[in-house]
Amino acid sequence: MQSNLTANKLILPKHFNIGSISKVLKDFEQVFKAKGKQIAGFHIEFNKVEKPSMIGALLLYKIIEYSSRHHCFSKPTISYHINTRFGYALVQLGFHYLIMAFIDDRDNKIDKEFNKLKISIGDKFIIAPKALLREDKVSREEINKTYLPQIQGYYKNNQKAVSMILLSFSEILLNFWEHATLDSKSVIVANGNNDIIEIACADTGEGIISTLSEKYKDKKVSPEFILGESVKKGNTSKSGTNHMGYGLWILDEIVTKTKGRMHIYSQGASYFNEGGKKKIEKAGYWQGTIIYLSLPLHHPKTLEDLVDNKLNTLKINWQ
Amino acid sequence: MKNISFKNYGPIISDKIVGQEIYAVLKEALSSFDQINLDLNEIQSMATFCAKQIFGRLYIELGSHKFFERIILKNANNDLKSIIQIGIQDALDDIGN
Repeated sequence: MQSNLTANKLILPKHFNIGSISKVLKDFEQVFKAKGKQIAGFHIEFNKVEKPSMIGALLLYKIIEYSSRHHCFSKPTISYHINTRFGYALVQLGFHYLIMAFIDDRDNKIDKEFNKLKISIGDKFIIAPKALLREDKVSREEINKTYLPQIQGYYKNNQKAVSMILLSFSEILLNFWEHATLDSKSVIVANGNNDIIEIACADTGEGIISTLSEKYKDKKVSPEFILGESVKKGNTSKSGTNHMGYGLWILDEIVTKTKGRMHIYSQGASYFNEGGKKKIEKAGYWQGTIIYLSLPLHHPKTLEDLVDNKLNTLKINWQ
Repeated sequence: MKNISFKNYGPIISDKIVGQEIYAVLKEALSSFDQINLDLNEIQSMATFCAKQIFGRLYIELGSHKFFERIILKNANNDLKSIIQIGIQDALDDIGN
């Protein structure tokens, strides 16, 4: 049973994980079409979910946040019990109370729940959600002062993995701050253990397709073509500026070399890199961008493994 | 010589606003001192965008010889070195060098 949106009803799928995201997005796109319409009688069914995931929880949070912010529905209802696998997962991943705050539609409660997001560390796992609040300088500083040091600490016995993880965070965060300009309340989340780490960020801002389409305005190209171009080295919508178009290329190369996984969804297109096997296809419309990374940690790779030696000819005084 | 620590900016630099701030700090130091000594020990990683914003811009403005003579980059890990090199190379590519 896949997710379903008919007659003002959205049913989340039984397996709400990275494998079902393409199908889920086809249903979620109806939410974007409802922007500003305040459709009455809308219902979301959570209780069918048996296999939850970090990416599922993140996307559910974002679609609820979007529908609240853009007045898609009037007094929507949900079927949801906290004492279910999905409820447990939402609590563990830090999204339960945040989603409830948006459903209650109370700004002070929403801010409070953003501040309460915190890292959980167990013997064999680290779950790390972090609010990305564009207008909040403190929130931005906390990423460096408290959030990333805890992830560094968890992986202190694998320094190369720390470098790979922080490089990935650098590029994903930069992408969010620079390109998701219409999204003020997002979340980046990491879920890892000694073997693997997943990192995901979803925004409902401008989107890769919109930002890059300026470059192709004189050509008739599809969203899939543009998304495919976005992972190529040096592709940017803003030539001659500090935008370099290296960010997604770096992530893609790391995924290929570590045999990891990267999915990108943006505005009707999707890009998949599964251990080096790459595929681009149409997808359900997601306003903005979703980036999902899954990186094995046994043979981590960093930028020094990716760049060519000709850069060493630059005159730089390293000491 | 002026010593500048990047301690307050770490462990990653992934934000245009911070990049602008660092560029301004370095630019001001270069206006008063012949040489600046940047300690990158606390920086684990940096978005390539910020590397170009800070170091690519300075490399172009100073030229390669003066960049080498006036800016000393200390304690950069190999990954950070690669990121800074990419930032500088991309700035050079923009002006056709």
